[in-house]
Amino acid sequence: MHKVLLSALALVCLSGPGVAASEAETEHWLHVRVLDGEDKIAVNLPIELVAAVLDAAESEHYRHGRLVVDDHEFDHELVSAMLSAAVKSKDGEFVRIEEADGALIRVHKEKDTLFVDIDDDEEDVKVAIPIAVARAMLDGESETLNVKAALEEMGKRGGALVTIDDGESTVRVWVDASMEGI
Amino acid sequence: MSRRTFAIALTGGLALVVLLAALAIGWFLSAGALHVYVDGSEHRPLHLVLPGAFIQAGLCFLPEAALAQVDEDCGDAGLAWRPLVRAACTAIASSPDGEFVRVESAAERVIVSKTRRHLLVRVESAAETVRLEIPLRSLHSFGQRLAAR
Repeated sequence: MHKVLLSALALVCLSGPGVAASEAETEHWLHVRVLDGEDKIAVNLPIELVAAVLDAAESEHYRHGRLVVDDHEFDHELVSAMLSAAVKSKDGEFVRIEEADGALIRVHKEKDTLFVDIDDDEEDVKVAIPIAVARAMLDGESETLNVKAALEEMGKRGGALVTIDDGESTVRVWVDASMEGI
Repeated sequence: MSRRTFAIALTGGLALVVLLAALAIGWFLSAGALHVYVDGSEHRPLHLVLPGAFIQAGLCFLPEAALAQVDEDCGDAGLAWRPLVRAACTAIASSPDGEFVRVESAAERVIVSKTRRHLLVRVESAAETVRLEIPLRSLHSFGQRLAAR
């Protein structure tokens, strides 16, 4: 009889969401690290969790995982064309702006990633955008940016997204396959 | 009815009752328990344990009028956040285990993590320690209750 009881108990225990949790396989995690003096913030979220929340969010400027861009200066077709041109181009520096105050802005391509580096007296910002992620973001309707698709594409490949260092604090955003982050 | 048939029927009935009881106990235990632990220098420690099955049952029988009142109190902001909370509750329950958030400052530390059956929230400061263990099943039910509205 006790075998029947144990089987029944096991059946009930296995029917809960705990099983779904153990069976769930997350390929990548989104990591955010903020170091500001003594304050430290570490966020590690499964990509699927972020995507689910992004998909559910609704507002005037955001719906169905897409950011609505009202700015008329944003030309969806032009940006798509520039991206296609960038894909075909060889690696190298596309844009270099040296401002009078010493700030340096660079846009360059290395392999399949576009980099935007902003370096001035106050802070050092590095943004890395894989071209496939940028394409996913531009996928779909014009005047919208497909944030969810971009995140899912990022989840497939991983890598650094944003690094900001202003001397006093640092912010890092990246995706990798480990829960703890590298 | 012969004595033999009666004995077989009685044994079968008892086995069925025991099996149903085992199923009920299994369901009750697998629902986990909500733990609230508060300890501070200015008051005695508080440790509250509420079975998850009670929470799930409570969510099922929560009057519609009470939820409507919550909606009214929260206003538009509450309505805007509801889909996010609903999606997060469901997604967390099916997410892999790990430490999701850690915020550390000189004064306090906040950790949000997930184990196989619980979402854990810990807030530790010099003055007080608060620990919250929320059963994932209850969290999932809460999300479904929101979705049903």
